[in-house]
Amino acid sequence: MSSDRLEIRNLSIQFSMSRPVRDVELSVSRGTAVGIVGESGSGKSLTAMAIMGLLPAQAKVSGEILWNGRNLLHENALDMRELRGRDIAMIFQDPMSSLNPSFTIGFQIDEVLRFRLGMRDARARRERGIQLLNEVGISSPEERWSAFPHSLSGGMSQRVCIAMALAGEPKLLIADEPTTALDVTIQFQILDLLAQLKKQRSMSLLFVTHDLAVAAKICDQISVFYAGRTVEGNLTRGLFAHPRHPYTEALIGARPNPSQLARTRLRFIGGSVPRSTDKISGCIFASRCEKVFDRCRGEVPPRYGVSGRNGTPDIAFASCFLADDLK
Amino acid sequence: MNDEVLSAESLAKSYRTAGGSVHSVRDVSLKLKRGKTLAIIGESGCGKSTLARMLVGLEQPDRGKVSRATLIPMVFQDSLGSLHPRRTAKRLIVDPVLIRDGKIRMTRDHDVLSIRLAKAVGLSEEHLEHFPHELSGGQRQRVNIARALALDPAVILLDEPVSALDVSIQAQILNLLVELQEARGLSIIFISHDLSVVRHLAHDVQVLYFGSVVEEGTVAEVLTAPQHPYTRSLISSELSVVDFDKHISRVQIRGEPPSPFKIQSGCSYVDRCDQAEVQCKSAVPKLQGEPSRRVACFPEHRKQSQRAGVRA
Repeated sequence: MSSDRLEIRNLSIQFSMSRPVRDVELSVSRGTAVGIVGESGSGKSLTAMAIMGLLPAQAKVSGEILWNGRNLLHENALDMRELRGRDIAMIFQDPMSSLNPSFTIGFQIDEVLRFRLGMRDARARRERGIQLLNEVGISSPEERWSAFPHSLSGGMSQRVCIAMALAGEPKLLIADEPTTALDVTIQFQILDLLAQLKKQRSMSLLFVTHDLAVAAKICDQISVFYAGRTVEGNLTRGLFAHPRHPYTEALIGARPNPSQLARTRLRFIGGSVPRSTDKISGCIFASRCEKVFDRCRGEVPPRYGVSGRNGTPDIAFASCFLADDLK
Repeated sequence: MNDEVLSAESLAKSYRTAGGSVHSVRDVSLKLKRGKTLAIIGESGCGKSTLARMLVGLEQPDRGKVSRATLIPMVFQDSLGSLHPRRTAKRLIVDPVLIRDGKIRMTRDHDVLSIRLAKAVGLSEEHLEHFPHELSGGQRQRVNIARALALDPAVILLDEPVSALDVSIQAQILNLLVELQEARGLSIIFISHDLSVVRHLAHDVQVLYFGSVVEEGTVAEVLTAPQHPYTRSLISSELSVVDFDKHISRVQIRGEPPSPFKIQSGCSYVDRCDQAEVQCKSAVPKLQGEPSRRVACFPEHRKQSQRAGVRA
């Protein structure tokens, strides 16, 4: 029986001189929503692209991306094509540019059903397509079927993209900043929709975002990325209640929040993110960390964590010497 | 003494496009008090940026009037796009002074000024020699703020200045703005869609929906006890890392904003509103209430007069 499990082990991505992703570990089990949270340049989108096999040819990828035990990095292009859209689908930040402006919504959904699912009967495809539009909350889907993308708002376009992604009945949906370009009220609607779809279809969700609050709303577990490394992972509640890694703590503290007195100084992280070309011998966050000590500069901190039962990987971990209480 | 550094009276602006006229700003009046921050919040297409452009004089209003004492420099969201790519940070910062004086070459005085301004916004002297593409997003936004301060203005306008920045950098810029305001007595118009930032920075707030102000007042009042149904749904859509797992009853907003081409006869929010009445469909509610706290909503007006009746 397939368990629909994604597991990433030791994933590194290298472009000539730079290594924007280093030793990433991540797992998504069936029906859970896992968030990848990080600032720009943390390697979160590259990781998502690596899973889909969409990295440019010059990228050197090492490690393992296991989908139900199959290493996707060893699959050939044809098999990957089979897998994309069927097992794993993806939606992107800019829904407008994900849709082809010259074709109607209907045509683009129809294409997925015809070529991905091999549905022969045109009427059945239309019926299914309209059903999908209905499912993602598009009002009067029959009329929208023949509409062009430019006549839709950003929120509507993202719904159409979600419908297209769902057409292949994926087991895992990767969403890369799907609400970042949307207004807050529409963002809320889309997050609700994704949460509801995940539940109904017991689909897994890998949610990439820079916004901790967005991840908090939708994810069961969160993995924090910094400069291409996973520095901390935990169940959502645990992560916010007890952040173990100083970076996570600083990130949470940098956001203005309603319980804080207005106009008081916000915490921030001094310095800047190391470049992906830099050679770093110790902890990746050492140069900006408030709690840094000698050992951090010379030695890469291991993942201190709590292992689950039956050898399942860590539920909670932090790559910080100060987190060794987790052992 | 006149305590207002900027005021605008019933501004309106529409643009002609192939699809018809777009009524971007319909009716906005505002007053900015000395040393205070007025935030304008609303979603895309509500007319925030058109309003900003009219306030600084980049657009002429179709109707209404802006009274400003001095030039108002503006800081934009896109920190790279708003800086000349072939000029160093130093030159960019003192450019307003050069233009005012009709000069082309920088002198010693300009060097001194650029260093002073760089220090004020937390840049080092070394940064002054860099070109925009060599600076990070946060550093570029500091250059933009330094440049806005070059002519020692009483008012500056910031249009989504931190929306494109990472959260740790955003915190630095927000700290900087609070410091600058306190040190220089600056008055700030702050345009944003991010409620948490507005709550942190602003004193007063106006909520814009579809080109009109639907609610205004102090941040403390409007964001903790919103009266307009739109403000309420905006606040319940806000996500937080603090109480994300608490069960809060949310006022979910329905549907999408109306088409900007059409002018509806009634309240522009009526189609999405959960407390709409017959009157809301036929007449446009005006801002009403005490001078410091006004809302444009018929059901709320009735509650106001009931309260007034109880008091009387």
